[in-house]
Amino acid sequence: MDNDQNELIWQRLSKALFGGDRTTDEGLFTYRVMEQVRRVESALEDVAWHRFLRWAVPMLGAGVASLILAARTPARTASPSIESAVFQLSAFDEDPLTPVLENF
Amino acid sequence: MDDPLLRNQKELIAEVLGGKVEAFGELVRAHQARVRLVCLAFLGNSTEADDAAQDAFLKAFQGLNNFKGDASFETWIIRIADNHCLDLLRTRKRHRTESLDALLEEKGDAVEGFLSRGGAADEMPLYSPPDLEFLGRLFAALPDDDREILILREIERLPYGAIADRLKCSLDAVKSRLKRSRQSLIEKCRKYF
Repeated sequence: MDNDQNELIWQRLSKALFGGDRTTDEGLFTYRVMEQVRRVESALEDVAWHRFLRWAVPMLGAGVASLILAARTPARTASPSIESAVFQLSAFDEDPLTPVLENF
Repeated sequence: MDDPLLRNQKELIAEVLGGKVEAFGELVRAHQARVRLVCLAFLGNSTEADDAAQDAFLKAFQGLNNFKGDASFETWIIRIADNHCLDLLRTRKRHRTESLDALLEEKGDAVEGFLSRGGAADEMPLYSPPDLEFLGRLFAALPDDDREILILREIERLPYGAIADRLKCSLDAVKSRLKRSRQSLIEKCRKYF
């Protein structure tokens, strides 16, 4: 009997003291929280934008610079190996021994 | 079938993560009362409790990416508020300015007011700022052991096993301690019924 009565009292007490799921000023509280949330959000966006700029600007600069360099580079000269081959051929042609041998 | 409230929370969280920040307001509105109550129970002062509850929501917003969705958003945000209050209490003492008997003597009408509300089984009490102020004083006047277990069971609504883990004691110890704390509060308030 006593236990039942205590249980009944506890249920009412618990519900009254701990059971509230709403407050009369919930709109004001929510407004205050959202004000801070918006402030944090805009600060985070700024940070993200600055972080983006920190790597995007140098990357963009490097890209433009390579484009400019690529456009200005002169036409490629013949490869040194071809040059040496030609040189060797002409050198063979001008071999000083050939005319001597021919005249001999 | 999914709990509609839980599904709704998932949708709201997805919206916030997708950039619709205003959807977070709905989550705040839905859970602010319990979060404020948790902070109130820890700190014992409604102004400090509201500041702490705001901080907890802000932390939740900033860490929303980490919300796994295994538990409800309410369980998650209450845990954040709980940890935040414990951090605050490490740097200062809890308010304890009056005895429970003295408070009930002075504010007997407030207790009667509380108990007269929410008569219907499905009707939950709606707290006004003076109610929260009174509740803060009441929580602050509770003995530490009673307050700790009542916060975990009645406000945070943790299962016995989780309370036992938290308090590092057995399940039986949790039950007997809870019974003692409830009985003590009943005895103090019996005359108002």
